[in-house]
Amino acid sequence: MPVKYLTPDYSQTLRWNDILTSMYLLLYLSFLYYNNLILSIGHSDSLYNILGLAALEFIKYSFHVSRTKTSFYKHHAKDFIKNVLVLLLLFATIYVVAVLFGAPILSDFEETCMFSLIVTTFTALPLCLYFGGDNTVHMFLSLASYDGSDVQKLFMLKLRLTLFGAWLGAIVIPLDWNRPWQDWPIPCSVGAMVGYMVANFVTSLLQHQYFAKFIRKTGKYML
Amino acid sequence: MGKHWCYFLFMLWFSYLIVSSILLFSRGFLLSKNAQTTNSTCLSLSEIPCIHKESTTLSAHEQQCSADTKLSYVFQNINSASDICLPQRARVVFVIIDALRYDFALYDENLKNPLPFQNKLPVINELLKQQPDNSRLYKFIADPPTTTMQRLKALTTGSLPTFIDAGSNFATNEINEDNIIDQLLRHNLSTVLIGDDTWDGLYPNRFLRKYPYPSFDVWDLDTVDDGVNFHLYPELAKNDWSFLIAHYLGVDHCGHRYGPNHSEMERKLTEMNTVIASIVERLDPSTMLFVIGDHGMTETGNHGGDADDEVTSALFVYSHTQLSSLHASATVRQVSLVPTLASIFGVSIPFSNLGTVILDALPLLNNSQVPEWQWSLFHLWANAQQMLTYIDHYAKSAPETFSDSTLQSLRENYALLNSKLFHVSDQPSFATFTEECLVFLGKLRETCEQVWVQFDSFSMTRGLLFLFLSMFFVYVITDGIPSNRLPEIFMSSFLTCSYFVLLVAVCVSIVLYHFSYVSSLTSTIFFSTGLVSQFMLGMLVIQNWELISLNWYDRSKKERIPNLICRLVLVFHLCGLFSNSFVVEESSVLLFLLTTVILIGSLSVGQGETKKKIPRPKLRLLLIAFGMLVLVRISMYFWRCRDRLEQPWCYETYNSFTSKAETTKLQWITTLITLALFVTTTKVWLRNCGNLNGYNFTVIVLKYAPTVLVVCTSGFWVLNRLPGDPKNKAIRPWQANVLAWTVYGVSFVGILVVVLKPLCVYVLPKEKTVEGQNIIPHLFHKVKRLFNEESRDDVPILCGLGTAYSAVFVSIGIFLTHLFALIHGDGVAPATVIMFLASAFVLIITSIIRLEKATIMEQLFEIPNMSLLVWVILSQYFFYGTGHQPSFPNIIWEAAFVGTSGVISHNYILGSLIILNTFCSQILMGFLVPLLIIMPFTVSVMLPTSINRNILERENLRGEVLLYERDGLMITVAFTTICKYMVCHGIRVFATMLAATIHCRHMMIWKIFAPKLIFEAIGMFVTLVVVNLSYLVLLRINFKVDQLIVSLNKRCR
Ligand SMILES: [Zn+2]
Ligand SMILES: [Zn+2]
Repeated sequence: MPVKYLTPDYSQTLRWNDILTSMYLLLYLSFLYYNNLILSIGHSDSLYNILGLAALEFIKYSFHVSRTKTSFYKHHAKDFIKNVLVLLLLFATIYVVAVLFGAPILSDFEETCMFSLIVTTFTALPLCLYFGGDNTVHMFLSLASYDGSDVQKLFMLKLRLTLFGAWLGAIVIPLDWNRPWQDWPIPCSVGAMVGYMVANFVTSLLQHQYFAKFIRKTGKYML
Repeated sequence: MGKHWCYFLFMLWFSYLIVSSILLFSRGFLLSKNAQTTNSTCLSLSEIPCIHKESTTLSAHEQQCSADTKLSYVFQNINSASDICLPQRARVVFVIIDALRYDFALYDENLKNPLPFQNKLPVINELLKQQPDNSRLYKFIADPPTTTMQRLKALTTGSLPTFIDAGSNFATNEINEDNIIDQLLRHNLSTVLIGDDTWDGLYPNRFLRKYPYPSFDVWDLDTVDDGVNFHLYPELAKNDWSFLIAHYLGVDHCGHRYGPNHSEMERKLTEMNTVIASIVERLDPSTMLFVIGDHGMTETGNHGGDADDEVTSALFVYSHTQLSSLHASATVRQVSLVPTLASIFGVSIPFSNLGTVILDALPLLNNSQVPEWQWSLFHLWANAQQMLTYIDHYAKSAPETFSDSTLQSLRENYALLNSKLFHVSDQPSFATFTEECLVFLGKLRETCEQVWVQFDSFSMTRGLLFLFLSMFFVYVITDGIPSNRLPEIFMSSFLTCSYFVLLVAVCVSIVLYHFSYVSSLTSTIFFSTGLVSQFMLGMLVIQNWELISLNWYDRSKKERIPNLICRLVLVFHLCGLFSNSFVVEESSVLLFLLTTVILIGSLSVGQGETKKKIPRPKLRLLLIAFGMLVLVRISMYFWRCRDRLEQPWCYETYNSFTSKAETTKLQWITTLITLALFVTTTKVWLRNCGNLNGYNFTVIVLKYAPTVLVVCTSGFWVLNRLPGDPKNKAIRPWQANVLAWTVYGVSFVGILVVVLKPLCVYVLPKEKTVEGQNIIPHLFHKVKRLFNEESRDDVPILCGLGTAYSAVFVSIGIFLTHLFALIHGDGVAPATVIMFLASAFVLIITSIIRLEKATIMEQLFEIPNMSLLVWVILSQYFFYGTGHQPSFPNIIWEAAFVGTSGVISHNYILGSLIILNTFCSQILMGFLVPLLIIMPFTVSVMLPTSINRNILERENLRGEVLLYERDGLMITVAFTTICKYMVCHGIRVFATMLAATIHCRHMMIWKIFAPKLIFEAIGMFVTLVVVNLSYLVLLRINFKVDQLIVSLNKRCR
């Protein structure tokens, strides 16, 4: 599975993809907010929205492939099933981890599944597309300390910030404000989305020459 | 003095500083109201001289003037009502049905399927229907805390109970405030007590006759009630008493044991119905009957808080003579009972009373001369005068309590009423006056309620400051000074100087107190010692500042993401304490944080590995972490609900599928299987360590004691399950108790033996290795050779030296876990096993992480702050994981009856059982802190496959023998680790203290923040004790290992 290193021409496409992603996620979130659809984010009604978001990831990837004629990872037909299995495995893992973090095991099956689906869409799916299943698992397993190529680092940042967003979202759940949006998994799902949005924004900045230099100089915690 | 003891002295000093700052703070924060010891006095009619309007002189003739004349004189001078006692109206039979909730006393004919507690007291309804003029039923509102002792205090003194009493239900202490029973004594009226012995503790030597019964065994529904019934009827026939107290506990105990929704409750209430009916039958015309509940109970049968269910109890009054009909009321407060009783008995209202006399509960006097309303007016006004006097008096003794404007407005209000008093001439004007007067009295009571808790900001800020500073300095010293430099610093004159200065400070405080410059000795000592300690610690930090800053600078270069996450976790962990909803939901929060830290920690291993391959050890580590997290997640099923109001989404798994005392078969089987598995696994572990060889006494204890413990524990549970119905007396309670005491004894002896003879090492003489072929293959790779090179042939082989240190702590842990399992009962026992296993997993995980990261031996002695954080969170989490909640109603009082029910009522034993139960996680984790240092070496011997080979090969790890080789370093690291552990716990206590200070006017302060503070503080004290003990145990093991090796070396030469 060839991992190619940074060449200047795909950087442009990636960057535009990232900018686009942060824009449409912002639009999507504000759409949800103003139409009070945020409350249904944990129901299967919003399944199509998630599938739409997943389709957007596919479109971005094919756009990227067609523009640059190269890819970090060549999808072979024989790997297809493996990658799908990896996605399913990660979906299940996220479900289990959510349960370990305190989510109900079965009583909110639908909600937890939707949360898991959202997180998979934003984390595992792009990784699988760009780097293939094996690398995805590896990146998931080295969340806390990762050493890879620059592109992989960008994706690692997205992965981390998305998970961090979902993690941070849980803060509002215990508060006794009795608002409907405090119910599991709404804050965590929204947190994951916001995390992914912020991550895309940051990565698009990082790919800009000037900012990249600036951040590398100052940041002690280069994520 | 060796450095070991210097460290220990320093730890003691630090513990003292923490304790004293917390106590200093709580003196300011948990300040209770000042009890006023003044008594009310009054003149009875016979003592009043006859004064005619015409003349003011007394004469012998006038002494004999009639009572009527005196009465008319008294009613004209109503302004001095509180100085005069009217004649006694009746005697009172005072039946307390503990925890009689208001709806227990109601009767509803329309009810088709009454619940076990409904419609069970029909006699009250009949009396209300048949003799409406002679009986009254009120909703009787208690002030929280709704525990029996606080309620009895309020019911006899009429004052508001204070918060600090809430926790001290054990040591009942004598009441020194003015109260109705002392008032009766002063007027030569006598009281008889039958029932709950709490009364006897509150009022020793006050009763004409007393038949007290122990109140503590809440599993015993009948002994007290049968005893009361036995003595009640003979007493009713006598007439030398004026006040007969009969306190029934069955209903309350039934609530605690089974909850209100149980057939036993039906039985107890029906019994009470019979009791009331037969008392009414035997009542003579001059005697009244009061039936009261001291508090209610929640759906689960507990009480103590301020939920509606808990504060509403019932008051039923019955008298053969007609009751007054003036000013009917349906809801009265419990404090109002005292002035009512005082009016009935014709004694003065106790000095500290804040209740208002219940006018329509007073029986009529057959006196046609004086109209009914005039009597009532007299009592009401006496009541008002007494309360105002009390508040005036209190304001004088504690000037800060009431603001001047409040007092002024109260006095004006009183003066206004006083002027209106003389215009009351008939019943309608009396009615309007009563309304106004009652409003005024209510206002008085509320004024007191509001300002009752006054904070002493001086003590509070000192406490906060001292705690913060001492923790800060100690952290800087233990974290900043490198461990190779610590010994010389502590061996210097620093400690001697400090202790000397402390002594001087104590002496100065005593001198100051002696010459009464200061009012409180302990506060002064805490303050002065705290002050000089901060000074000394600060000096030490300043002296070594260069060293510290250099060390920190070096380390700051190695920052990584896990550290960032750890800090975030720590911040959340602390910030949560400032929000009431996070305190309420702390169990989930801790679970969340624990999972985070464990996951991040195990994911961070193996950095810089090859990109493609995921290293096997890492996968194995993740597997272990996963197992541990699953265990922790399972422990969620043992959480207890704090309060249904506070946690609306709380799904009470443990209590919901069982009635309170009985466990289901499934639970039972799980418990037994878990315990059996626990015994086997721990035994296998110890055997694999090689610590179970030979015929050493310790080894024998370790081999057989756990099995004995499990058998006894399950036997105890079986016996306790059998007498489900009270009639089955096949098994006497003491037989079950013997089993429980066996468990206590065996675990105590086990711990003692392990501490006294800590070596589970088997010295295999050289010859034996040949003949004992059959055991050797099994043992061989566990056997550690001594590092003695000279005489290879004579060197004995030692089994279990490689785990000599850890084996002791592990076995102490095992014994403690068995003990905890017993006192947690068969329902929650698996949680204690889970706690032990989870901590073992955490130890393994952190050790593997450290082994992976270390490149040289010395790095293994560095305890990362993350491991410490996990350990602290673990100890906090399993407080919840073993079914506790930081609120008083949720204290598991049942723990005190394990093996003691009906046998022992010694408060210290009962108290320590409850402490053992409540703070089991703090005790276990505190004891096992040294394992954080020891465990990497153990893991390197026991699980060599699960770690990278590098460090093993590079450093020739030989297990815990290395610890002995570097025992100086080990002890130093143990010292710093333990200090940091104390600091970590201390930070939490500090945060709760700060939260309590910030929220001191918060609505939830008494319900959430103050109990949290008290639980954290007691947990801290427990931790301090245990942690210091664990250090001593470590010293002991080290000493014994040293002895062994020295003697072996001698033998070999
Ligand atoms: Zn009670
Ligand atoms: Zn009770």
